[in-house]
Amino acid sequence: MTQPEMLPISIWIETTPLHTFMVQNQIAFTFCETLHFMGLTILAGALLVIDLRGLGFLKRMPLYELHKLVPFAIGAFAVQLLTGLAFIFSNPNHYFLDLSFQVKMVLVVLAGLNALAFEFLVFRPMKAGVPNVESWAVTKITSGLSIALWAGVLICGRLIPYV
Amino acid sequence: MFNWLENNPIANWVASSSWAYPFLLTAHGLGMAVVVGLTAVIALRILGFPRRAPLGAYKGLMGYLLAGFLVNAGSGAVLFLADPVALAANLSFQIKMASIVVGVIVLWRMHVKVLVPAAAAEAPVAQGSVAADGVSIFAPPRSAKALAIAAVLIWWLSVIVSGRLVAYLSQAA
Repeated sequence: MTQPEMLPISIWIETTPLHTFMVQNQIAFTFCETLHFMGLTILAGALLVIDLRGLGFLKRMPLYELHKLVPFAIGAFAVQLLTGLAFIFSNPNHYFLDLSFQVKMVLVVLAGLNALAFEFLVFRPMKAGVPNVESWAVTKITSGLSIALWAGVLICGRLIPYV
Repeated sequence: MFNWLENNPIANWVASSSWAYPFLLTAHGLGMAVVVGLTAVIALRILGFPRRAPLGAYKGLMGYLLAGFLVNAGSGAVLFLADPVALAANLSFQIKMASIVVGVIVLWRMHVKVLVPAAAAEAPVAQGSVAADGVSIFAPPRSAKALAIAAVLIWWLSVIVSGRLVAYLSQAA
């Protein structure tokens, strides 16, 4: 098998001190991986509860209160982003040319756009006192999409070493 | 002596199918997200975030948490049978299994000592609409906060960390 061609961005990344550090310290990679797993659980837990409520389950939980978990989800996402960048810096070309990684990044962007749609088309109107937001189709659709897209992100992440 | 164990049908299936291993790991990852994620959400509420969400309603999450746990127990059992002899001798794996037993006990106590009483105390409120002023919301005892922190730390520090190490040490072996 021929070696895949180095992308210009990969060539640049491999000149950075962070790349050298990640390559020389296997423990750093394992540490970032553990943080990535911990961040994943906070992100997944907070969003799952909000999305289940949006879908019409857990009716005794006020969505207005659950929405206060969003800052935890954003904080956890920041951890995911930073540790994810560390993985990329350790072996950039491997990730950039990997189909699972490419799909995962597309799904992350779509999940982010979907979260914005939920915030502005569902939560803000609800907060402003618009009645019956909970029964709107857009509420169910954005909530269901959120679960599906984040599950897709997790699945693609798991498959990166295999595809 | 362990020959029959190493050649069990599940081990052969996982070894010969190129999709079995990634599929099982993916199911294990999704289950982990549900179990640890919901534990973290319940723990955050017991610690006071968000303070005005009725704590008793969180009892409704236990069913989802149990479903996630069963997915992980099932996928974990098959992953174990794929390589039973090496895993049973692996220290990280032993620590992980012991941690799961402790984690289940802590979660069960959180359910019985905090969520069930909270749901009972808030039940009259739940019949109508949830009180907007939050006055009738169950306040967890201080010991509940220790349980909440313990539950998250056990899943994070023991199960995830030792789970990572199981993967690395098995590769090295």
